[in-house]
Amino acid sequence: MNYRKEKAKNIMNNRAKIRIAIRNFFKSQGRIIFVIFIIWLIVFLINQYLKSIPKEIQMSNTYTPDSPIMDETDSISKSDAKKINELIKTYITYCNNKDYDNAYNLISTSCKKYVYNDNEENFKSYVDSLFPEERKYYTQNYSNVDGIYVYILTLTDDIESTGTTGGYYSYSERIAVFNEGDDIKLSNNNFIISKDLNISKEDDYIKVEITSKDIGYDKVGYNLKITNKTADGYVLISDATYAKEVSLIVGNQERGAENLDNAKFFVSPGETEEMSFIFTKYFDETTDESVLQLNDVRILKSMITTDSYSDAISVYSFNINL
Amino acid sequence: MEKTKSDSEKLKKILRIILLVIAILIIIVLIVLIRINKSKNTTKVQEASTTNEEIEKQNENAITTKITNMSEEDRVESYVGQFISQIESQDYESAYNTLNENFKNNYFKTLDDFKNYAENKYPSNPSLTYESVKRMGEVYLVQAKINDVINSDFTEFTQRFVVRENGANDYVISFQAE
Repeated sequence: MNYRKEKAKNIMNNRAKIRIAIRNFFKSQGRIIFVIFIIWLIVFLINQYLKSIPKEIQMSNTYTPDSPIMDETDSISKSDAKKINELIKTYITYCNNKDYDNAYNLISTSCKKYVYNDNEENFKSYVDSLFPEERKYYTQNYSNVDGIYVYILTLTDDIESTGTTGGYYSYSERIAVFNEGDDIKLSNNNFIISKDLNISKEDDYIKVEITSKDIGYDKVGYNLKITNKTADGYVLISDATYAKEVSLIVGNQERGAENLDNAKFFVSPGETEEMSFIFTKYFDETTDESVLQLNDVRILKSMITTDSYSDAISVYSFNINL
Repeated sequence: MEKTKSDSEKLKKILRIILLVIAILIIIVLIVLIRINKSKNTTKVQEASTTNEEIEKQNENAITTKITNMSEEDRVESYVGQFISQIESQDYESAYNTLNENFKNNYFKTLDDFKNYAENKYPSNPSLTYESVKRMGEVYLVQAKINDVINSDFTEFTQRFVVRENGANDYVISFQAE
């Protein structure tokens, strides 16, 4: 009997101890448990809510007109993309409506000069050739370098209305959009921008000044002023005897000038002549030009010669760092 | 003083427990409500599935879901495929209704005009071989070769389709009407 009483007492004591232990645990940790529980509750409710929202259909789509194809170039902010797209839309609308003046006003200063010779009639002819009827268009950002955004602009006829019955028209060119002062302008016809350069170098025979360069999407043209310092010698820069009489160093490549065929580039004694040399150079190439090389400068007594190299008083190369 | 302090602490504890219990009750009620809402929708779906219209709707939903998960090129090809299938099954009205409005005005002012064209142009059992899918801005230009799977005398031809996708299985077509 006493044993049973003792056993019951022990059981009650143990239960009391357990209850006390649990109570003490919650006393000491209760606050933390409460906070964790509330956090879990919030997460749970948010999860339930999100599950109940109908899922938006996301289909795969490769058309990203404002993402550059050349991934390694800069990306465009949404606000810039909006401005650029509005400019292009306005330009196309003007061209479709044959509003030449307003369309011409959107063209950059250097494009007007280099492409259209500062003559709006030339621009009109260009517009008329591309817009004989209303055109639809679409664009794709190609590359972005130093605040100049290059897009591929494609003009088509209204293929949705025609279904391409009888064929269809499609024409693409690169345009460039950039800030010119406070305005945003565009260059077209694969031209980008012109930059002034004040680089000069001279020796006993010649003084060469590189005044500017004209940058197209895939070409660059250097504009030179060459002065013949001699009193009685002719300076022959190129007569197309060899392919790389004038060349451009880009990285580890030597690129020959592409406009040397069938032409003589020379300067008479005491005279100054302007010359331009055009090279292949892509606007978004990561390597810059480093040296313009006049590889075979010939000093001649007369321009009447059968072999300008053997008749020359002096033949040397003249390199200008860019 | 000490007794008052002790009473105050006890009261705080009781309040905390009450708050905890209320929070638990709210959770339980919310879970129950969400579950009830879900089961109601399931019941609705089960009830609706007994009608033919709803069966058709379910089929459409199934097609839409399938199309949504396709690649861009496959989607566009499926739209052209659907268009030709509608012509094959002589559902000219459905095919006509997918045409671009300007295109209709230019080439098929009435459904009969379209029907006459389709009957003369397309084979009874058409097969499509897609040669190219080209994106042109917001539309696609699809070029496909069309032949007859049964009639070997049929002269196959190539046709271009212009497709604008407005959404999953929501498209407008025009085509080379020659």
